[in-house]
Amino acid sequence: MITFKLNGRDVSIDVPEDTPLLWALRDDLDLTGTKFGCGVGQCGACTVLVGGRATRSCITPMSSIEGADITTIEGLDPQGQHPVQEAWKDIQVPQCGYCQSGQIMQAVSLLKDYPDPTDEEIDGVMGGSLCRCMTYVRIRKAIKKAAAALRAQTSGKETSHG
Amino acid sequence: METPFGAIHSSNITPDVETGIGTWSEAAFKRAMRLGVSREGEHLIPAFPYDHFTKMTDQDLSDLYAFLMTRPAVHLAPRPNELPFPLSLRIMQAGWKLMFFSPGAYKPDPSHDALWNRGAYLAEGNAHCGACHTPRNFMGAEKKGSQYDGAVVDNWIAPPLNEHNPTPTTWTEDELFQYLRFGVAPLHGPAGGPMSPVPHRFLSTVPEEDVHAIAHYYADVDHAAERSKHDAAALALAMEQSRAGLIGPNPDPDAKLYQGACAACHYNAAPAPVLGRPDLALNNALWLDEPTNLFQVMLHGLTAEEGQSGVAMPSFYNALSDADMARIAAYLRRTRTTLPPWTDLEKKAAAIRSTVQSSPVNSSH
Amino acid sequence: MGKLERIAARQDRAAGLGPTRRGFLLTAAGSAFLFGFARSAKAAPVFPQAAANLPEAGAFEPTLWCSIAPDGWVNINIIRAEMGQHIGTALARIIADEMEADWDKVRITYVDTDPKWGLMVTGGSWSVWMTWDQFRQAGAAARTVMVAEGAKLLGVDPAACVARNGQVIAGKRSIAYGDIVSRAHPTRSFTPEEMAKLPLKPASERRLIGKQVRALDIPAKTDGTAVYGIDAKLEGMVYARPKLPPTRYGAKVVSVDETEARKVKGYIRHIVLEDPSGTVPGWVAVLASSYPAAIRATDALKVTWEAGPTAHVSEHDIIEHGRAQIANKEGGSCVFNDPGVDEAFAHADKIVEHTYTCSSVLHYQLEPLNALARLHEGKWEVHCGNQWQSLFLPVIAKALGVPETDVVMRSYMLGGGFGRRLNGDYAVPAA
Repeated sequence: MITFKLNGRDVSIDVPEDTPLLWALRDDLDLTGTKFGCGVGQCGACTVLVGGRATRSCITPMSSIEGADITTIEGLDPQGQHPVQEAWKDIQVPQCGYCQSGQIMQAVSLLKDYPDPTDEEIDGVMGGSLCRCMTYVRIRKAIKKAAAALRAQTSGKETSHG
Repeated sequence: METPFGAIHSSNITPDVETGIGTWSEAAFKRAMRLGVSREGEHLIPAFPYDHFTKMTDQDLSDLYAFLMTRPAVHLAPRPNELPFPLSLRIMQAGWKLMFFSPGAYKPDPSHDALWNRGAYLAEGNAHCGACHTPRNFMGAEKKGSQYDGAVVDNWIAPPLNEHNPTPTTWTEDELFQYLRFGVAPLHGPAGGPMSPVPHRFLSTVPEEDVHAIAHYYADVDHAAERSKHDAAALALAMEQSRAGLIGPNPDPDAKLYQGACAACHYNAAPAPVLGRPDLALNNALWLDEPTNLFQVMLHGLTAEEGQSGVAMPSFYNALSDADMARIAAYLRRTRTTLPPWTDLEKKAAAIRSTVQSSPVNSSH
Repeated sequence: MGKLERIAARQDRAAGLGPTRRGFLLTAAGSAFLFGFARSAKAAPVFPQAAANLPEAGAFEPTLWCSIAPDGWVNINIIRAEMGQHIGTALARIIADEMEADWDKVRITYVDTDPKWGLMVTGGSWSVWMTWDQFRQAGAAARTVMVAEGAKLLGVDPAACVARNGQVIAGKRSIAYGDIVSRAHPTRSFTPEEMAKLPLKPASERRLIGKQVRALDIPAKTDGTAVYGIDAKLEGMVYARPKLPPTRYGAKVVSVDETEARKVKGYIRHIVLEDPSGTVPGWVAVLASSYPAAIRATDALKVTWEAGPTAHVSEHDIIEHGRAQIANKEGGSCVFNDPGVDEAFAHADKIVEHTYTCSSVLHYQLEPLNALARLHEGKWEVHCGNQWQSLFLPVIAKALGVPETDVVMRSYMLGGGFGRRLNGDYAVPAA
């Protein structure tokens, strides 16, 4: 039995400890928004947040996430309206869409580390998230748009506290 | 414990009468801790670090005895050790003691303040850091004059804790405290492998002041005060190196491999690494004489309970071949350190891989 | 509602989750209550579009291609594969523009195979121009009926009406398409001949084509709800992984040793595939109760093959084979005779001569090739994303040894096509 937090809920599942997190999410927990791409941690399609940090779920065994707090694309926002998701829709980023859950999770993590990312910072962090449809230009645009929205949200909060 | 002399199995120290220490008096317990002699009068093997425990105060030993004797008894006979003859003869241990063991409680050094002395007492005694971080001689005793020079333990390198530590920024008192208390240092990164339980199961549970004391002591051992004046420049350089090969077109296929497998989590930008984004340019793993720790972490990853709490690094056991691991190691060493290249990398990757006990599921296709 | 469900619902509300958005099931384990997740997951992930294949109750369906529901939603049936080109949006826009639909009330359905749809293939940049006339006519048919019926309801002459944005408007009065459907219950349908005679809008009147519009498939691709072939799920399904022979064609299985595979927990069995279609010769499928178990068991299963004739063909051989074909004077290469070329070369200051070659590369669409199959109520259902159903449904039928009418391919999003999914070979081992 492995116990962890998933999208804000306490979850316990009985799977072998060596099961990659990806398959537990997709097949045992029915959260298929997280995708199976290369299976070797080199494409980013399976990216989820573990403790708030982007993590390749296809090569992360369940034994590694005991007690951890996991967020998948389904749990980013109850209505799918996280500022990054909104920016993704506004800029019309996805094409086939298969990599986009991973791109979005990686971008959320990027924006936590670099709230106003430069092109270099975007390249440095997002470079491991592949898009075979080549949506990179729009991903960059959407990240900047989401960054602005998130900063506005934060400064709004600070003002209201002030 | 795998030792160069054979496997040694730890003994049962629950108060079970038949298989544990249930019949041991406090005096017998203290004698074992101070002199390495069992209740029955046999010499104990120094894998039991009585050479450190001898430094403990009488009060601490009494407290420890009281604690152990009030744990639930577990009936479990220890497995026999696998030491070859003549090391298996307990009498042999007497000679070892004569040569390498000086009994006696810790004596405070009056040239240092109370915090330093508290740190030294804990580090040298109870915490027995030197048992892993000091190299051992051919008889398995810690080498005099090489204290804290670093050593190989359980297929990992326990890095030097003194001024020979090679990382470009110093292990300052704050870096040490964060690392020992929480399992991750802002600049040097997370504790992995056999070191991980030290913060998570031990030093996170003791009074915070004691961890400050140990950090204070080791900041002196590694001469942080003098060495840290170069830290700002070293940090700036590391932040420049962190982006090497990741920005703009780069024909270096090794950089591409690193970008695909590692950079999403390990890229950093000035002014300093983000916590949870360990920067390899500042990490012991790249600066040690061998790529051992780098390969270990690549193969095992880190669980959410290890290193930085709640954060996991995946296992690249199936994701990177020995050749891939060698290429990434060579690339990092040449772009992020000033040290000579490592040699025989592919062979060393294979050797470390062969020590992994159970391979993860391989989702490649 | 049981106690556990109430707790779950309360947690859902606290977490801001709607009651239907996510299906959670509360399970009791040991002495503690823990949240698990519904394994059966309703029908949603299994048949993401099938239910919408039928027009909604009371919907008006002037042609095969679109319908208008009483609530005003316009559904447009798409027979092309969505693989990142937003083909549903591109095609729906043709009908919606001609029909004067409200774009915010347009949805698309990627339909399953049925002979009524005609040729189902997505590739070669064909979709828009091959669909253009048909969809404009279909849109015009819907608009014609809406204007005729709307005029009746408004009590005016159809000539006094215009259709705009899902409404029929006569001066200051208007009526929405949905209301026309629910009040007038139009049933008129059109033959292809009738459709071809309908008046079409001039280009100057286009309101969606050539303009920026919101792609209809994008929201689902940002929140994890888009369903790809690999997401298909059936109650009690098992997972298989192929053990691939040394050559693509011509290999034969000599022996299989499952001693080690049997030690893998979850291993069910292996199957040496018998495939009359010749698509997957020498393949061995390894079945298990979970995909990780299938991986472990496949790695553990030992198969020996007699390889096909191409066992020792190298990349170099392939390139050389290409060179030989090009050099063949009997049509190996085709050179367009452009007058003046020889003269230009004859007077050139400098001639650069170089040979360019292209090596074999994988398509590397990000979604791995996959398919799910079952025999259900006498029909073989194959669930997967595919670009050329009309080509491969007959192959699947042949592999199964059943008539084509017994096979249906259900449509899903493609995690990339790039031509790789023109070939449906990956559906055969599943079937």
